[in-house]
Amino acid sequence: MFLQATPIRRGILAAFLCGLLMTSCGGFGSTNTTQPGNTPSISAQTSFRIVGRTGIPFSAKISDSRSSWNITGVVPLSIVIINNSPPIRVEVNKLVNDNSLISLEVINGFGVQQLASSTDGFGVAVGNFGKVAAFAPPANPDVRFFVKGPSEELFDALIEDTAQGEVVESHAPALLLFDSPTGGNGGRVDGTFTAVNFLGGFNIDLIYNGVVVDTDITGTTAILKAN
Amino acid sequence: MAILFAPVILILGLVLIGDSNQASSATVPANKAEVAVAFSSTFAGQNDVSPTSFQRVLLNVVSVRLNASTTAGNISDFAAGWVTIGVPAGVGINAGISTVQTGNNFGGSSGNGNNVTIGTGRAEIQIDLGAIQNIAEVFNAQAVPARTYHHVELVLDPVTPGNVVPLCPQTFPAGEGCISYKAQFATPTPTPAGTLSIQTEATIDLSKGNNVVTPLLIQIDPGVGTPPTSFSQGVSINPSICVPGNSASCTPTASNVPQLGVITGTVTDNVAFSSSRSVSITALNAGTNNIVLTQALSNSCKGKKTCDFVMSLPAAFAIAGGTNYDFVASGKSTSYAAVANVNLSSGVINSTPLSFAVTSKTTVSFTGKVLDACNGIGVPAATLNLLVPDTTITKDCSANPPTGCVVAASASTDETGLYPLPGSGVNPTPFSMVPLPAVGTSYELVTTAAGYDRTFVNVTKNASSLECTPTSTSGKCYVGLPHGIMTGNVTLGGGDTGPLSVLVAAEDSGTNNIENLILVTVPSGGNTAPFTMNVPDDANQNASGETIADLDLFASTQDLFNGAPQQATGHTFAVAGDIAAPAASTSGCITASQNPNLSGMTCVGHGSVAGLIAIPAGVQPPSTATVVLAKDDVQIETVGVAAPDSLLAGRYALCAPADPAAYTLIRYEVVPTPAPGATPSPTPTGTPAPFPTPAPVSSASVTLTPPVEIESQSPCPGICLINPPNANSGCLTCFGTNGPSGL
Repeated sequence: MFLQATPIRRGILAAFLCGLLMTSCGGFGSTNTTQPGNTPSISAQTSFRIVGRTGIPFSAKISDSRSSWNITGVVPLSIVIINNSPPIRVEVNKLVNDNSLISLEVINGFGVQQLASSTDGFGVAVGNFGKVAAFAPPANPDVRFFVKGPSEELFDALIEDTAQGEVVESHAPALLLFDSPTGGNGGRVDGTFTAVNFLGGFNIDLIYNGVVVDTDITGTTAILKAN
Repeated sequence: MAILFAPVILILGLVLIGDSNQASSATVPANKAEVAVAFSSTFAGQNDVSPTSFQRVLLNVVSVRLNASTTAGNISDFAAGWVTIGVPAGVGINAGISTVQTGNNFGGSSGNGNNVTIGTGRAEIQIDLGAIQNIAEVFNAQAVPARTYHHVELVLDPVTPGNVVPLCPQTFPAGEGCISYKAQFATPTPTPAGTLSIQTEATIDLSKGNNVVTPLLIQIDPGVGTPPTSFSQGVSINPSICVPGNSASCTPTASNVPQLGVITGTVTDNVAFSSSRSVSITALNAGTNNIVLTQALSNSCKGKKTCDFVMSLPAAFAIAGGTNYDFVASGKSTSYAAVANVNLSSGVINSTPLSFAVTSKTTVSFTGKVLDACNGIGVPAATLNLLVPDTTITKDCSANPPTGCVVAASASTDETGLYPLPGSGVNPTPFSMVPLPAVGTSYELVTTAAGYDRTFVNVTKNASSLECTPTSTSGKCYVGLPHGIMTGNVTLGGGDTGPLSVLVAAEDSGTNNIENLILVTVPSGGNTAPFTMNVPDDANQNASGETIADLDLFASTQDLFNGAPQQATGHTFAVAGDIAAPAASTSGCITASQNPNLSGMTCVGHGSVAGLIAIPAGVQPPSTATVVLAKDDVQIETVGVAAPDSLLAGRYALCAPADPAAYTLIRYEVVPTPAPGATPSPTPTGTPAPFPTPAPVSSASVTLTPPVEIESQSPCPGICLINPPNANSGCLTCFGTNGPSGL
C-alpha cells in the first residue's frame, strides 16, 4: 500500500484511494491501466483489535518477520502495523485476575483472519497470520503513533517516511506501529490524521524508542513529525 | 471499472455520513423499543455428537438479527425487515440510539454490523460456550423499531464460524489434542460461503414502546461434531438457538439453563428528573469495576422526583448461590447513591426493591498521573477505581477490603501514566462528572497495576473541586505505586535450545491469584535467559485484605504447532514456591533476596485430563466450583465446572503438558448461603449478602498419560518433535487421561 511521497495535503485522498485500489487489485503497474507509476504490490495491511470488557489492562507482544513490539495498554485498542512484513505473530496477556473477556481479532486487509479469546485470570490469547517462528528482535527504531482519542473517533491517517507512505483507517484508541521506517536507517517520519466523525479534538502521541517526541491535542486534523 | 469505483464511493459515503454507530443519544424515540440481548449455552442438543471430547468450544459472533415476519419456519437471510443488533461499537456505547449500555467493547462496525469499514475489518466477538453454561453473558443492548418480532437469527463469521480445542484423544486415528482447530458448518451452503446464520422462532414483544427495556436471552447449542482425525481437519458444528420459555425448540427445558434475574428499585431525587440531568443505574459484579449493564431511567420519569426501574441481569442458579451485584445511581449534576453486594438468582425477581436517594449536586472532574514510587516513571495501563460507600453499611471505604463500597467510576492510564484516557462527544471522559462529596464524607481512589501494591488515596472536597491526599493541587490526583523487584532465570531442559519465549508468572503463595507476568526469550542456541519483573512488596494487601509475604513463580514456554502459536504449552512447567516477597521500602525498590531458577522445562508433549467432580446423590453440582491444576503446590491453571442439570454437569477438562511427575487437582467451591437445598430467604435492602469466597474442598493426584507415536499419519507436525527422529518419522500425538476419583 505504498506510494511515492508527495506533499501531504494533496496526497491524502489520492493515497487513500490508491491504497484501496491496491488492496483490491494488487497494486499500480499490474492492474491499473493508467499506470501512474510502477510502485510494487505490497502485503495487505495487518491490524488487530483487542476488545472485550472495557478497561482490562493487558500486555501484548506483536511480531512480523522483521520486528517485534511490546505493548502495554487497556481494552479497547486497535493496532495497525505500518509497512508490515508477514508472517505475523501476536500474544496478548490479560493483566487482571478476573473472568472478564479479552478477545483478540487478527485482520489482514479487509478479512478477519483469526479470533482468539480468554476469560481466565491473567489469561493468554494468541494469534498468527501465516506460519510463524520465534518472535523477531525488538523494533529498532521503535516508532509508534498512539491515537488516544477522542474515543470511538473514526480517523484516516497517512503515515510516511522520506521514501514511502501508507494510508490507514481505524477507530481511536489506536496504536500505529511503523515497522522499519526508511528501511530502519533513520530519518524523518510524519503522520497526518483526519477525523471522520468529528467527535472531538484529537489526542495523539508520536513515540520514538519509548519517548514521546510529539503530541497533538487540538482539532480534528493533526500532523505529527519526528526527525 | 465498476469494481474500481465501488470502494471510492464507499469511502466518500463514509466521509459524508460518518459512522452511524456514533448516533447515540440518551433519549429513545417513541417508535423505538430497547432490547438487551444475552447469551447462554448448552451442549444437550441432538446435534452434539461428542461434546465431552472438547476442552473449549468458541463461536465467532457477528450479530443477532430480529424479523417481524409471521411466516413459519426459517425465512431468507435476504428477506425484508431484518433488524440487526451488532457487536457493541464503543467504549460502553452501543450501536444505535440507546439508553442501555454494557461494560463491553467488541470494536463495533459501521452500518448494520455486516459492513466493513475500510481497512479495519468487521468487528466480531468470540464467545466461549463453556464460560456461559453457568451464567449468561450480556451481548449488546440496542433500540430497535417497536414491534413484535417472530424470528431470531444468530449471525456467525462466514469463513470461520468458531474455533474448538479438542481434548487429547483416547482412540485413533485422531488429530493432536489441546490445539485450536477451525470450526466449519456441517453443510456449507451457499457455496462459496456467504453469511451463515442460525434461526429460531420466538415471539419477542417489543411493541411496548420506549419506556421498557426488554431482555432477550438466546440459548446457543453448538452442535459440535466428532473430534478431528487429523491435525489439518476442521471440526464440524451445526449450531442451533432458541429463546428459553419462548421457542418451542428449546431443549432442555428452560429451567435447566441459566436465565436472567430481575432487579427492581426506586430512585428518588430532591429535584425533578430532566433531560439535562438524566440519571442511570449501573450494575457491576460485586466488588469489581466490571460493568454488566448501565440503564438510564425511563423517559416517563422526567418531571417526577421518584422513578421506578426494572433491570434484567445474568445470574447463577439459587442452588449455586446466585450472583452478587453492586449498583450505583449517577448522572450529570447528581450525587452518587450506592447499594452494595445484592444477591440475585437466575429466574428470580428480587423480593425487596432497591432504594436509591440522589440529590442535585455539583459535578467536577479530576485528572492526574500514576507513578512508579521507586523511580517516578509513569505507570501505563493502571486502573483507578473511585469507591463510594453504601451508606446503609459503611461511611468509610479506606479499609481493605472495602466492604460495603461500590466502584462508582473507573479510569485507566495511558502509556505515560496520565489519566484518564480521552472521551468524546458520545462517550464522556472518565472522572469528568464526579459529584462533590457531602460535608464530612469522602471517596476512596484505589489504584491497581500488575506488579504493584494495591494503593488507596483519599479524595475529599476542597471548595469547588476535589483534592487528593497528599497531592497539593486541587483537581489533580497523583498516585505513587510501591513495588518490589523479582529477578531470576528460566532454563530449558532436555537439551532444548532457543529461540523460545517463556512466560513467567508470580502469584500469591498457595493461591491462583496472579500478581504479574513477563514474557522473556531464550536466545537462539542458548538454553537460559534472565528475567526481571515488578512484584508487590511484602507490605501489599491483596483484594481480600491479606498481606502477602510469599510468592509462587511458574514458567511455561510458548510453543508452536505447525507454525501456529498455541495457548497450551508442550513443555513441562517450571515452578518455584514460597519465594519471599521483596521487602517494602520508602527509599527505592528492593530486589527479592532469593533468585529463583525456573529450570527443567522439557518438551514432553500435550496431555489432558477430564472428569467429573464427586457429587453426592441427589445434590446438584454448584456452578461456582472450579478445578485448579497445581505442580509442587504451585497453582498453575483454573477451569470452571459445567453447570447443574447440564448434560456435562460437574464436568471439568484441562490441558497441560504430560509431565512424568504427578499434578495435584484441587476443587475450589463457594459454599453458598443458604446451603444447597435450603430455601433462600429474602435479603433486606442494605444488608450485604455474603461475599463469595472460593475455598478448597478436596484434592486428588493425577499423572497425565504421555503422547504416543502414530506412524500411520507420518509425517506430521507436533508440539514436540520426535527426538531423535526415527525411520518412520511418525506423529507424536497426545493421549487423554481420565480424571481421578475423589475430587
